[in-house]
Amino acid sequence: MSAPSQIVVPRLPWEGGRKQMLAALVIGVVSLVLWFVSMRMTSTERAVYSWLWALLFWITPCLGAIGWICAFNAAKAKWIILPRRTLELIGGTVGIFAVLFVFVAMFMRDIYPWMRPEAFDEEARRLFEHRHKWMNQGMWFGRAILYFLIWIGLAERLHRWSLAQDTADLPENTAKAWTLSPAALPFLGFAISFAAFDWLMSLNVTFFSSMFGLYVIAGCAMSAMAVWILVTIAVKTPINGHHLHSMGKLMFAFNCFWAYTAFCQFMLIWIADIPDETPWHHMRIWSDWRYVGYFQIVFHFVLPFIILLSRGLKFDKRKLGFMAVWLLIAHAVDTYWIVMPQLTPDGPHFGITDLFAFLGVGGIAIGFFIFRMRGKNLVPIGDPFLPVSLEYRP
Amino acid sequence: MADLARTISPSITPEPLIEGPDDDLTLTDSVFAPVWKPTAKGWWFLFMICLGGTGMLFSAIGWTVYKGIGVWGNNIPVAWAFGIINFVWWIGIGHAGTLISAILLLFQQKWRTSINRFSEAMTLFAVICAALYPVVHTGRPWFAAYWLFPYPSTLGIWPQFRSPLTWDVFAVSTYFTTSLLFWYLGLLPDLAALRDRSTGKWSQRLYGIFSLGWRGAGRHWRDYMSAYTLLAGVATPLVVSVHTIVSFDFATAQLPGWHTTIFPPYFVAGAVFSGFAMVVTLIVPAREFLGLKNVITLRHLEAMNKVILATGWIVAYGYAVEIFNDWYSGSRYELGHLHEKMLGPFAPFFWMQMFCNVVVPQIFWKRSLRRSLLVMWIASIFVNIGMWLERFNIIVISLHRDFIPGSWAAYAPTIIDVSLFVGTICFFGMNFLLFLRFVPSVAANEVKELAHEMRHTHV
Repeated sequence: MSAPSQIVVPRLPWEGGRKQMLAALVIGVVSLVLWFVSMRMTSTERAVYSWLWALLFWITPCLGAIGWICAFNAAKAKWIILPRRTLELIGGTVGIFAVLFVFVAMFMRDIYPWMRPEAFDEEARRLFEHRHKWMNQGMWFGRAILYFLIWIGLAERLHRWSLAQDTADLPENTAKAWTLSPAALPFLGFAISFAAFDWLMSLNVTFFSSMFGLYVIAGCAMSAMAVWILVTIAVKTPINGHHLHSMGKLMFAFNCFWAYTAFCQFMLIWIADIPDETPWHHMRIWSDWRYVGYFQIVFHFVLPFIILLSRGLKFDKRKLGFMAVWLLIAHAVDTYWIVMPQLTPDGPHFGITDLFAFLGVGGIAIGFFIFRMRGKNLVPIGDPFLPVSLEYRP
Repeated sequence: MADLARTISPSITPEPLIEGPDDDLTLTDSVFAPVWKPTAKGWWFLFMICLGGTGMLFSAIGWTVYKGIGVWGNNIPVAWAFGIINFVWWIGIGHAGTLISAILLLFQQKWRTSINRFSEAMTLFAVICAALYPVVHTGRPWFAAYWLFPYPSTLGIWPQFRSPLTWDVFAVSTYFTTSLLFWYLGLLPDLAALRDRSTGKWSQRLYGIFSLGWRGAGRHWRDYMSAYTLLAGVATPLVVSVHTIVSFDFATAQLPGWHTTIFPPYFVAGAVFSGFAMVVTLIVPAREFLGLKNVITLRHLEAMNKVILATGWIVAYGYAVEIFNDWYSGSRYELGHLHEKMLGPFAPFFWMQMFCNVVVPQIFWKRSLRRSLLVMWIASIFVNIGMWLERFNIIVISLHRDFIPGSWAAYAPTIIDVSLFVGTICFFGMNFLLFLRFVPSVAANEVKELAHEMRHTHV
């Protein structure tokens, strides 16, 4: 079956984005150097906190993208095939974070309290001792390597199967992806959750919350959808309004899910008021961080919820793109709110170090992403179900 | 589409959602046949058993009201037991209906059409069974409206709006109302078809009254479609809210085993898990006896088993992160609870729960087992048992070890507790049999619409 006449599927590899790639890489590398300089000017602790925040913000869409591909494959969804290649590549960017994560690993002693128990009181030391079998440097490193192996392995495997279909008739690769993806989802879910416990939850001495992993996963899913919408629009993937509408609906749904996890976690900890659990939210409420919290309620949930209810908006590239940018800004604030209060409990002190870290990680990640896009066909032209996706009219 | 068919390997080609002839007349006849056929002996046999069980239920309720809830096995510290366990279990089962009807509709999942009516009815009857428990648990059901209904609290004593139990009344009653409207709205075209095809005077009148003057005009269909989609949109957050609030009943407390932040999504997933298991338990024999194998195909059953596998993994994730956080917290109370759960007197129940909810669903990774009627039926019963045990373990294991060891106590249900539980199963079964007998258990209008769609597109 041929594609409907109004949709022209590009058959040639994408060669655009050279300037953007170079600009992103230059910004990234220069910011990285400046971040190093700022580390000397402020403190290692401050700089590593900023780096962790930047890493969290930029890696979450990549992890979400891997999750989305697996979920779509598990559901044998066909409508996503036309714009799927860019989603694969967003997920494929996770590899660069394994390199960028080295700075967190190098300076972990400066941010993780369990690495320097001597600086804490007896009660905290007893807690560190209790957790020691799990939360020690060797195990922490080992798990981080395992997480990255799962993420990179999965993203690359699925991307390569898809890519191979561009040049050869390989419908069996679709069957393989449909088999691997559901089996991989539990590993992916546990890897993201335990990375959240290891890298973020353990920044606080006493805090524990079984919802925390899912809260981070919700942010991953929402931000991945926002980035995917933006990239699809930017590279002019020939999607129709229904594709965009469905992507917008998923972004909307997972933003609601993010609010759900955030609210439930907060409400249950607040209402039970157990001393071990409350400090994490306490420092975010009884300080100037509360304004960041208010910002999130209004700009991460209430307003986007009302605006994204509109059906017409989700068909409009410009308007939906605007909302995707909006939600990514809100996500940046959310990730900042997760990481930074531990460093500055009295309130947010956004500094130049944060900016350099953000641009450093972001520039390198975006540069790497565009580098991987170039020379590839941005539509999986060999997927046997591409015609179904081209016809998508739910 | 011919090009496409050539390029797709058989392993990734979807099976049809309707088997055999799919013209309107054949579909209508096959879906309506169970309503027109004379009542089968098997139906009467099952109905009488369920009626007897319903009698037992109301006798047990009567005895409870007469003697007071002291006839239950509840004690101090296990002040909440079978009543709330069964309430949560039934509410959970009630989730599949709205999930299949509303969420799968919003996700454009075509396979929902043959099973939505069936599971919506199941939802209604399950919610009725659930609602019985808090009403009876008041001890004086004639005051239930006062105890449970959230009317303005002028004295500031009751209802206690900070209590999730009050939120529960809001949530469950809203959910029931929406589910009922959704179910009834979906029935209208089929009730009208039954009216038009009835030969008896009374059946014509009755179906005529309940079909609310439906004539199948263009305007009727337009209003019907917009109302149906709107109700689906309303029902979707309700599915999430109901079990979220049920989880708050426990998680807002400070009790180890109850207070954990993962409870809301894990309860919702568990509800869907158990709801789908119950649909499989009921639909496997029903499609056989009602002759609906052409519209409820193995593809439908396989899809449901996949949902069971997926939600089973979410439940397993919930167990794992809860156990990890109990340990990670370092709290002596959380650790004590963890120890009791895994090694205490009720530990066999915990491990049985793990077996039923985590191990058993893994068989569905294998396609042949997902498609074996006997295997899926037995597995679904294991899941039903496992989800009941989950609620038992959350409630009884957490309560029976109080903070003060002097207050520790064991728990065992009484014959009245068991009668109430078995009685609700029979009451549920009785309602369900009546539904199968008098109403088309598959939405004929939706199946016919799907058949038309299948002829014109690639579904």
